[in-house]
Amino acid sequence: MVGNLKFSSKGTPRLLFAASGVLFTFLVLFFAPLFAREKAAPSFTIDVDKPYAQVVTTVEDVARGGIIRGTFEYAGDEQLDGAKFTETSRLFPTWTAGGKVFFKYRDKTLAPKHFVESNDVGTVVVRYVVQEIGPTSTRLTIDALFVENGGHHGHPSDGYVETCEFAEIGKRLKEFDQQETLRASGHEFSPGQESSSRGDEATAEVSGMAKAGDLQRTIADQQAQLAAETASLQQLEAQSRKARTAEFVRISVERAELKTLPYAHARSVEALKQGQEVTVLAKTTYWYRVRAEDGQEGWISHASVESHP
Amino acid sequence: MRLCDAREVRNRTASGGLVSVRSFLVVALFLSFFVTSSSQPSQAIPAFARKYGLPCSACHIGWPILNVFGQQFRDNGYQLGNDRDSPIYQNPAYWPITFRVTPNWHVETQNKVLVDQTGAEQTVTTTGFDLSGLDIWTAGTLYKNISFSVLPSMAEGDTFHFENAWVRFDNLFKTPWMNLKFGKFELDILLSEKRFLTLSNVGGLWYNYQFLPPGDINGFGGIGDNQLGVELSGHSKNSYARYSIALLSSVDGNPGLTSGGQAGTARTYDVFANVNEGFQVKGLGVQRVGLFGYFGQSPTFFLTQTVGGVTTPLEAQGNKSFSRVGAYGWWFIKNLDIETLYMHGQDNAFLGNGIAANDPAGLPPGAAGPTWNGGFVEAHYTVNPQFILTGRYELVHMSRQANAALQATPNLGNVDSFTVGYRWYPIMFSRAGLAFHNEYAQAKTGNTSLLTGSDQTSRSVMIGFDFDY
Repeated sequence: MVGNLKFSSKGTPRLLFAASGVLFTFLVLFFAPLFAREKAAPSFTIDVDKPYAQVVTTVEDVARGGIIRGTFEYAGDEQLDGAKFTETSRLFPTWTAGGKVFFKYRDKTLAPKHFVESNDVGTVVVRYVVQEIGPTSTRLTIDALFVENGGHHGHPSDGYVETCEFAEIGKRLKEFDQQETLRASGHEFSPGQESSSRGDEATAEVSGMAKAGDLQRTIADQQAQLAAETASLQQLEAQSRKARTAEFVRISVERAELKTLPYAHARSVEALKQGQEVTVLAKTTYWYRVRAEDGQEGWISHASVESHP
Repeated sequence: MRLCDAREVRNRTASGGLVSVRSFLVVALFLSFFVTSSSQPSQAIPAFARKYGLPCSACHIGWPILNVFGQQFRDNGYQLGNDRDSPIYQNPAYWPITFRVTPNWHVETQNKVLVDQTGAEQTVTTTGFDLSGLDIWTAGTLYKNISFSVLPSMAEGDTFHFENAWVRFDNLFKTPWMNLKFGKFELDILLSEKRFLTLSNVGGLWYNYQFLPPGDINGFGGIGDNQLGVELSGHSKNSYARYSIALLSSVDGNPGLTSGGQAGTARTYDVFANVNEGFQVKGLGVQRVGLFGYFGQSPTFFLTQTVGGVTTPLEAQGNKSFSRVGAYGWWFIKNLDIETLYMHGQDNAFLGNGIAANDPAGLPPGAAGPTWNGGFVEAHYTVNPQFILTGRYELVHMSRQANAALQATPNLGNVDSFTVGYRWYPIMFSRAGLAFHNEYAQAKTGNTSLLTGSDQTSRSVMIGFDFDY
């Protein structure tokens, strides 16, 4: 290194350092746009056409489930196990807007995925707020937060956790509907009752009757399934009609990304151009589920659209 | 590398006076900067992230600074302490080795350098594209509660040396308060020079950790050097409370019983101790404070044997004491963390004056053990885990020079420095890490110019890519 020494005039080092200073500043400015933080998603809010009591029961069931979906610690995992249920949490401000509030938390969690700038060890908390807005309409709000033990920094979710939690709630609500449909169609099957009613029949006839019973059960099951599918289809058609008649919106920005899931970092399905019309299939507070003119469905930010005149 | 023969130093000091002392300092500083920065050891292991399938941010505020969990993981012998430590969870492709190197461009200048061609002092400038040393680090567990680390390192043109190599028996008697480490290791001080963010020639060290007064022949390289010995340490479960005490060979980490730079001569031991405590402040998080002390001996001459005109040092003699004691704090305010350190150093009068202990008459008038005080404030602002700004102000000021002649220049040896920079991490995955590094550093050393006895200022600008995989 000493061998590389150059002898220079007094001005050269100043020039070099001035140039270095300019370069330093330039590089900071150049990279500044790249330093943008990951974005936190707003609360996941959705109005569901279900009675308040049913939604409360379902949400509490999910909150007690011991699993937090949409996040994980170790690569290859898909969710966090070992979560606990609680009705209060100091990690969120006290909820004062009414409704029923549940929490699910998991402590000693290592840098969980899908939380903005997640690092260190801390606690993941999911908050569910269920509010009654009508006899058959209920508002559900979900928020997820990771708070470091060391620095007490709060890291909001990027939205994926809430989406996955809602997916589970939605699934259970649908299952509940299917069970209700079955119950309403009178095709509930109770093996215990059936066997007791046939207890005194002759042994020779048992086999044949059992086969007939099996056949009847199969038919009943298929009828119930058909009824459920028909009900589901009718519901979807009704929703579709409602959407078609009520909700067309137009892309208001130069380019809008159609996402697979309602959060900013979700994969883009396609880009929609300004002026293009889309059909609204479902709405949350900040995201619309839409169908584009080419039939492609996805989520789009409400800020990217304007109402059809 | 440092001068090891006391008589040689004494003779040079006697004949050259202050000029030789200054010359020594200039060369020592120059070389120590170069050596320190060119072989900056790695202390971040993507291999751990690969092993556990965790993101780097699980353990690092910004690579290579450890966060609360990272400290806990390290204290626990690179173990999570849960079932994920079990081999059945490990990726079969897991390869526990990390390479680190930093290609860079840098400018170095120093003013008031006496040059032969003009016989005058002038500013000397060098610049160009460069490489750091190469680190090849492997670390992990040999078995449950037996951890290890081996870090061969080399600079361009060097042969490999072991930056560290140790085995650690963790959680002895099933308590985290008992861990035994054996080998060559980093001294257990929370503010680690091995895990800081500055890399340039002038800013790539903490002067307090490396400082020696002008003309001092202490063979101790500093708190920042890894040392050879055995360490007993312990910590609370969350690693807020920690202690360590180490018995070290007086060899400054050099294998082969190399005391005072002479192989096969060591026969004394040093002691280093550290204790630190963390406490939670509402809304701010963990704050940490600590105390440390290094108490050692260094030889002032050697028993020798001359055969066929070749003199061989046989045994370090005239060992004299030195000490470094200090306190530190690490403060967290949201995304800003501030490291503060105070240190007091003291060397024996024989070490400070470069005089053999068997020749007390050689001590100059007013000889005394040199003492000094120093400290630094270093701040990191984590804009986000991929972008960190850093800045440091550091000083070391002599409180007592080694003899009456040196007292005439009370600022001799003083160091005042500052460093600013940032690191951007476009890639921070379990497979690899890449940081774009940009840094400016400046250090002024008191009264060290050879001709006029003026203060000298060294400056570094560094732009580089620091990567490991």
